[in-house]
Amino acid sequence: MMTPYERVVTAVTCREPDRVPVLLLLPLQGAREFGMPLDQFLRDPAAMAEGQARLLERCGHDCVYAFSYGAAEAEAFGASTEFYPNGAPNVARPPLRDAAAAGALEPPDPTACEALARTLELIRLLAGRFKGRVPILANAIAPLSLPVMLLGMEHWLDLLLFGDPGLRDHLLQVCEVFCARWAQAQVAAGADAVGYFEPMASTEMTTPAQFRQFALPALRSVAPQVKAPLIFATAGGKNSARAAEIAEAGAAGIVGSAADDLGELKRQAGGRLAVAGNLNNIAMVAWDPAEAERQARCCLAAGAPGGGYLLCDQHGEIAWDTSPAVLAAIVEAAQRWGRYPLAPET
Amino acid sequence: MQSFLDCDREGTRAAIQAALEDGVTLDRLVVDAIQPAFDDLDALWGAGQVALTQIFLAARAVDDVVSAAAPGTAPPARGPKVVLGTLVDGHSLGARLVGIFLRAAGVEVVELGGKQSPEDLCARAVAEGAQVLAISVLMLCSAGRVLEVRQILDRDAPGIKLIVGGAPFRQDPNLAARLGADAWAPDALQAVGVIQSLADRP
Repeated sequence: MMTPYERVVTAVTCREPDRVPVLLLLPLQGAREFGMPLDQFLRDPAAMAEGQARLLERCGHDCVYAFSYGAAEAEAFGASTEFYPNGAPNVARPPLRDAAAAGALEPPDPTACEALARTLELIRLLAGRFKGRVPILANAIAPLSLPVMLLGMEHWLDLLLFGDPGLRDHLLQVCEVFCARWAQAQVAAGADAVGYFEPMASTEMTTPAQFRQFALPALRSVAPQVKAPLIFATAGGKNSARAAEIAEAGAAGIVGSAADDLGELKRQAGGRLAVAGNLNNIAMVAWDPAEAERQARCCLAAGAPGGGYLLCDQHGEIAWDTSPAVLAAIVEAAQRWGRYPLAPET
Repeated sequence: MQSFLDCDREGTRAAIQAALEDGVTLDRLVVDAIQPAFDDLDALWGAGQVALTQIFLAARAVDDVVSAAAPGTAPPARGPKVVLGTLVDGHSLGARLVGIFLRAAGVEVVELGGKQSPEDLCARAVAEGAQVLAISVLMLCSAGRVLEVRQILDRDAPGIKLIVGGAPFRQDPNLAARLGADAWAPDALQAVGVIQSLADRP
């Protein structure tokens, strides 16, 4: 039997492991282990590391998740963060008041940011316990999407579509440099793979021309600077039609949307890109274990044949209110229906 | 329509301006050109053939013209009065787009912006004499608080219809009903029709 690390590495390199790996991406749920409010838990690397260890022990999945919250990256640019009792934190107010403020922006040092330094500490703690046995997954927000946090969506779309091209390109360049630095800092601390979060690259968000003008060149630039596989994620946005170009630009894997046909995504990936997904993390909150098993089996039937597939949610974050019995049912489904060689009825 | 698809804000604005200079009233322009273009755009969005950036361009271009319309030339009010806001979270672009499309369709709308509490949204809907309270969210934990809005409306203003929209409702089409909304819309363009039909319901 493979270790979780071997299983995930085999799948990410587009081969068949002993069974389909399951990535339960649970950044928040560890707080329940300690009865801690989320705003305390997400600032406590030791508690987060211990939370990941306990969740791994209980659920039996195939990774630990070295992720606290996305708004931490905006903190490196001067943002403050708003915490909620039952969900992921958010940027309280974008650090750039308008597009013109981007003109003087320089890429900050991610290791000098307190929130990101805590994430690096979390990675080191997880590496101390799991390195080489259980893969350590980290995240970085990609250059076309990070400005959403820095400016707010409306200001960013105004700059992207109608604004000064020099200012736009400067902001994209700052975000590209920061993304590469932050992703590689996490790899240097012990992360085994990095989720490259680019929601703006989904087909719902940008046209093919905008995707090719802005998102692809950034990926081509960042990928070789990061010494670990990049898993391209659009946070639930559809991306199947762009998979071949994403593979060519240097990603090692892609996370499919629940609205994507997983079989079609695999065909588009063409064995050059591992495919992960595409359980619906929003609908999952209302599932019972039987529905979770049914949904997981659908994913396995579409994704598992031929290997190169990892069962996980479409977004990169399972919601706070998701039932532990649902998580158990997802893992059990992979253990039962995701073993290679696949049974004909899978 | 083509200028919407090309993200050509100037082209859209110029086409509308030319029609106005030819003597077409803004009201006729909305009914005969802009609304059908919105319908076409929404059909393409539903089929996955246009992106948010193109919807955003359409909203900006139409808003340019409607906002700049001379006093007295704006389309006559159609449909219910709407109070519109983003519940709890600060992701207010969706509500902004709904507001722009509602105004372009001649609907009277009071926009409250982001980070609104359930209590404030309901209080403003009552104070404004609205027939519809329209709520947008991005985050699932914000969507959960629609339940509180429902409870306050049931207690204080049972005649006000509650419509919701945003990513969590699109991802789980049963979520709006579970939270007690009277209706939901999958995108900003469809929200206009849903709101107009909602007000006609008993």
